[in-house]
Amino acid sequence: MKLNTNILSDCSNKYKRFIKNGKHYPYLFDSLIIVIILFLFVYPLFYCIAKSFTVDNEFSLGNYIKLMSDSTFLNSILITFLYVLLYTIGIMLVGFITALVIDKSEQLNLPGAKIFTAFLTLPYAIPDVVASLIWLWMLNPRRGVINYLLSYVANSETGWLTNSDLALISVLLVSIWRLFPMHTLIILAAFRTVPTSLYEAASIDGAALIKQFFYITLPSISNIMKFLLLLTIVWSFKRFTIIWFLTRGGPMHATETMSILIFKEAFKFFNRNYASAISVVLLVIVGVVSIFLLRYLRFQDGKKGV
Amino acid sequence: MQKIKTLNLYIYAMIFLMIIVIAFPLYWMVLTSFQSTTQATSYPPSLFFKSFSLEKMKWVITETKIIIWIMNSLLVSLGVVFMNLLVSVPAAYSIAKFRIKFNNILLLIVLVTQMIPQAIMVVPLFEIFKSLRLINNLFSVILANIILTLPLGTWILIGFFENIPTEIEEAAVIDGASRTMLFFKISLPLTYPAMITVAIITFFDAWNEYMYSYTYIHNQDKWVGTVGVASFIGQYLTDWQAIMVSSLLFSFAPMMIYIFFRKYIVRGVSEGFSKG
Repeated sequence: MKLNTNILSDCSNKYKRFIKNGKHYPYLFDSLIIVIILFLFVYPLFYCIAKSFTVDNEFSLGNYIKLMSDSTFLNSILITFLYVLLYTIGIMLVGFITALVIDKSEQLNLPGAKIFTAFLTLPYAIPDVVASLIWLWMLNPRRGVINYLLSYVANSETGWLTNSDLALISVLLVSIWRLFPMHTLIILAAFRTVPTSLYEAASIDGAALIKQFFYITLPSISNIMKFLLLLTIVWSFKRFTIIWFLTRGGPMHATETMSILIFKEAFKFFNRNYASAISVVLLVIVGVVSIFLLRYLRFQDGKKGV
Repeated sequence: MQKIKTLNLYIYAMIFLMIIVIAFPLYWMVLTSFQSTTQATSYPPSLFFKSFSLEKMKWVITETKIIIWIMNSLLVSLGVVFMNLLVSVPAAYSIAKFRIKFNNILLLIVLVTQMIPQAIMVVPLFEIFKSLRLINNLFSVILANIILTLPLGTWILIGFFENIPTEIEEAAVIDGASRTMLFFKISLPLTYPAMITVAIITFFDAWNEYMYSYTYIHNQDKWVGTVGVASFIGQYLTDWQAIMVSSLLFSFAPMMIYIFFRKYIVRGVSEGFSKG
């Protein structure tokens, strides 16, 4: 017996030595990603920051001073926050409801449950461009099917994307339609992490389904939900394609988020340095929001909080 | 028993309603594509198939470059998948296996790249590619896409590498395995399923990408699908049927992949998000 443990610790030592001897080994594995990050991330980032401080090839704060009195830019900050807020609330709700229904149907072994899941999450496979085009067609004021269906209720030629009160809502709906499946799948995966023994204990104690949901399910998945919330918010700051195709930021800047404005300034008006300044502001906003969220959400697990 | 029956009924009703709302736009795309042109664009529209016709499909395939664009998309997406795996697999292995300070910083940077809006990178990358004479070259789109898809792929792979028990590697070392063998013969084969997941997710992202492809490629023959399909709005402004047909053709590949490989996506998501 004693001999055995000796052999074991000997082996373990051998492994430890093996790891210790290869100190430069990890860097070999990291080298490719370091090159990629330096070349495609760090350099462009500094380039962008440098350009934002440039006017006529000279160092200047001009771009930032101009920003402060640019009402289009100030409007875009407002629209961005409005979009992020409403989108996050909406997609979380839709994700939750769809995940709950799928979860229940799979729990009860309803025939066809798997096919439902596949159908419900199908928009995940549709490219942004295609999603936008389909909805452009359906929301067409004069020949679109949505207005046709609504004509049974009210006689209207609603300009879903040309009316500045409705445009942002339409854009939000399309974004959520296109992107909720990922949320459904993630929330569904979260439900599966809750040990069934907890539910069994609760039903023995006579807790109703709704009570079980609020006292068992929600607390158990809170960490994953916080992480998902963080990702949703960070990702929604980046949204471009869907908004661009539906409205190009219009009507009257009603859907012009910062991403749209940057692209317009850079490639429509060719104010590249000015666009860089807006980019830096957006970057700071995303950074501050992320840090705030990381602090405020207080992740229990160290790794998720990185 | 009766209670469960009524519950089932409610759930069926909910599912039915949800499927109608969610699948209707896709149904509408198919309906518009396969009807005769007069039928498809008439108003008021009919909600069901009244006629079946491939005339627009033929026209789009023969008269536009949609097939070339889809092929370009395929080329770019496969390129991005390959490059992404080439970069993210070793990095994820290193981050998961070697607990050194540098790797923590690396992980942080990889996650930060995920936060950068694409609109910020598009101009600087344009200047870089211009100086490398890569504008109008599909390789520039591949390179630009890597940085978009890298973080998620690395993140998922880290989880899988961490799940490999250390005992397996220990045993291999005691049996005299070299470092290279440890990586190629032990860890790599165990993560093949994860690599398929990452490959599929990356493929979707690359297939979906528009901004870089639009700004870096000007030659019509080199356009990718997103740019090509989008160009229909300008060119055939009111020909909604042509727009729907090209959309359908372009989303055919990802839809098939999604239908047949859904379990890999679901598993990747579950693994990536259930680590605690």
